[in-house]
Amino acid sequence: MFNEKEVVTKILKGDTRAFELLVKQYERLVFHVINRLVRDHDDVQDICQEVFIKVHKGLFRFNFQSKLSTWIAQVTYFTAINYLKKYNNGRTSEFTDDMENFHFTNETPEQLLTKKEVANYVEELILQLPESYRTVITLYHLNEFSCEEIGEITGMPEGTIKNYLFRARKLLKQKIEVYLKNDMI
Amino acid sequence: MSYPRKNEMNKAAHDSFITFKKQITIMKKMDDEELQKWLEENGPTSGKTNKELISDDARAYQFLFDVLDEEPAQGLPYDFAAKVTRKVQAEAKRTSELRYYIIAIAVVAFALVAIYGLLLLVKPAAGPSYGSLLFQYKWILILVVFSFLTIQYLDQVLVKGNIFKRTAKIK
Repeated sequence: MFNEKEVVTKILKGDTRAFELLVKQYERLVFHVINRLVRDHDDVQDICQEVFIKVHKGLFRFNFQSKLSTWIAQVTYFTAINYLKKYNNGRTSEFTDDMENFHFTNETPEQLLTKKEVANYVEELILQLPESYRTVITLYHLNEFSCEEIGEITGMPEGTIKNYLFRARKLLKQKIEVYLKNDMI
Repeated sequence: MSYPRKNEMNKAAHDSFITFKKQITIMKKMDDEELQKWLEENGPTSGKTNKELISDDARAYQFLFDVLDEEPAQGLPYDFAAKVTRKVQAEAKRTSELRYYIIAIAVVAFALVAIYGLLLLVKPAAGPSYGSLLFQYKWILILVVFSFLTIQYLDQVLVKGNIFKRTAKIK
């Protein structure tokens, strides 16, 4: 059983085994967020590493007012956003006002024959969504954070998060529907 | 004896079928918002529902929720935690080394000043000559200390910024 308080205390006392335990506990969470936000897969591992180094350095600031996972997700989110700003010349693919008319570049999944391939297709579609949408979808579905916790992590209002979640899922559903109508699954 | 039990089983199957049909009817009538809420509360149910009965919307949402909840196929290497821990240890070592060097330089500087002070007290005549000797080589001393600390600092900064710098080179 992973005891947050005990592990954090040990790490602050210099116990590296406790830190390794923390990394093992949260590496999936960090990977999911980075993997969805950073398109360049070669950099994902390096950025995950950078996140944990930041966690180690800033752990003394963690005051147990939120869950450790929420705090780590927050560090992860801002590290990814900073990376995107730095290496996309400050341009992050922010949402457009007219998300109802959002167009994915990959239009028809005609070659997709199995469910696994459709899953890959959906993954590709998710990567084309704006960062805010990708973040919300990932934190909510893969990491099972509540809308309130996602608000804590990203600093977005809860209403906005619910709205992003709804619109992103609706957009993706519309794409899947086209596929299902052709009865290819 | 077996008749009532069979009857009970039929009743249970019948009830579950009615519940299932009700769910399907509900799913048919729902709009996007309600469908999303329903799936969140009840979980994706693919494989359990009849594809003939439910609406295209519901089927698409069901499939989408399945995919969204699915773990990505690839992940971090199994030794990732060990690698990060080694890196953190190495950084901690470098930081403590730098701290040690700064303390050592401060101690040497203090010792030089203390010697000068003691000489002034014990042998006043030797004090000024010692002082002028230090003053004569002051730039060499400052340069040595400055170069040493700069090398240590640059080493830290370059190692720390290694990740993003390497990424930039690739792009």
